[in-house]
Amino acid sequence: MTDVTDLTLIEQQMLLAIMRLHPNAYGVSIRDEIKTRINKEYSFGSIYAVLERLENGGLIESREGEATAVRGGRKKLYFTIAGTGEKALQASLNAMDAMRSGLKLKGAFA
Amino acid sequence: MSTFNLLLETHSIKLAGAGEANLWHQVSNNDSLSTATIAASPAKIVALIGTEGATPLVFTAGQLAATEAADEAAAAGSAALPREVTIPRPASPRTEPPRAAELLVSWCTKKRYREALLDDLDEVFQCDLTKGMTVARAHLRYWGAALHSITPQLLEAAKRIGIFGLIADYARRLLQ
Repeated sequence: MTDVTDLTLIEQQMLLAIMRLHPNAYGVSIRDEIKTRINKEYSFGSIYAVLERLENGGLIESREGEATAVRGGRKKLYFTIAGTGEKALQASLNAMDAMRSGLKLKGAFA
Repeated sequence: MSTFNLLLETHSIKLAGAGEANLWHQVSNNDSLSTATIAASPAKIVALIGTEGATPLVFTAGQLAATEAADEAAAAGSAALPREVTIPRPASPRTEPPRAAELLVSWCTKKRYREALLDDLDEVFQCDLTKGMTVARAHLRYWGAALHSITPQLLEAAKRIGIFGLIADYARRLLQ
C-alpha cells in the first residue's frame, strides 16, 4: 500500500483529474483534463502505468463501460477514486501545504 | 464561399426543392478530394449541418420541409440566392487505425489495460478524422502516440531484463 503522503506529482494530478471527471474518468478524458488545466500532455502509456500503480495501491477502482459499435466493440475502462485514495490525496496535499506555509513564492495563490 | 465542417457519415441526404444538388458520401472513390462543392441555399445547408464541428445530424422529412419556409423568406430578402458553398469532404467512418501499430501496442502492453489503451488510441484517431485531418496524417499521429505510449515501458523492461530478456518474454507471450 502506498504511504498516504507518498504520492508523486503525476499521481496527485491523476487523482485530482479522476475526482473532477467523476464518473466519466477514462484514459482520454483524464489526459485531456490534465492537458487543459496544466498544459502537460502525458502519453497513454504513462497514464496507464500510473493508474495501474494507484489501482494496485487501492487508491482508485476501475470498472468496464459498455462496448459500442463505434468503438470496435472495445470497452472503456472508467476509474473512480476510492476512500483510501481521497485520504491519501488529502494527506499529500496537506503535506505540500505545510511545506509551503510561510514561504513567499512569486505568482503563488496561497 | 463559406466553409462548414460537415460529417455526412454514409447517409445520402437529399436537399428538398427543385434544382438543388444531392449531398452524398463516396466511400469507394474520390476519397482523396478534400472538398465537395454544392449549390444550395444557405438556410437549408445550415439546417442540415447544424453547428460547426457538431455530431453528424440526421434529419427527418418533416425537419427538412421546415427549412423550406426559411429558404423562401431568405430568397425574398436576397436576390443572390442560391449561392455556392464549399463543404469539407469527411473522412470515411470505416477508416481503421494502422493495424501494425495496434499489434505493436497489443504486444507491448499488459493485458489488464490493453483494450482500454487501444480504445483510447482509437478514439483519438477517430477524433482526428472527424476534425477533417487526412487519413495519412491521422495514421502518422496514431503511430506517434502508439510509440510514445510503449517506449517508456520498453525501455524500462530493457533495463530490467535486457534485450535478450525482452525477446524471450515476447516469445513466451506468443506461446501462451
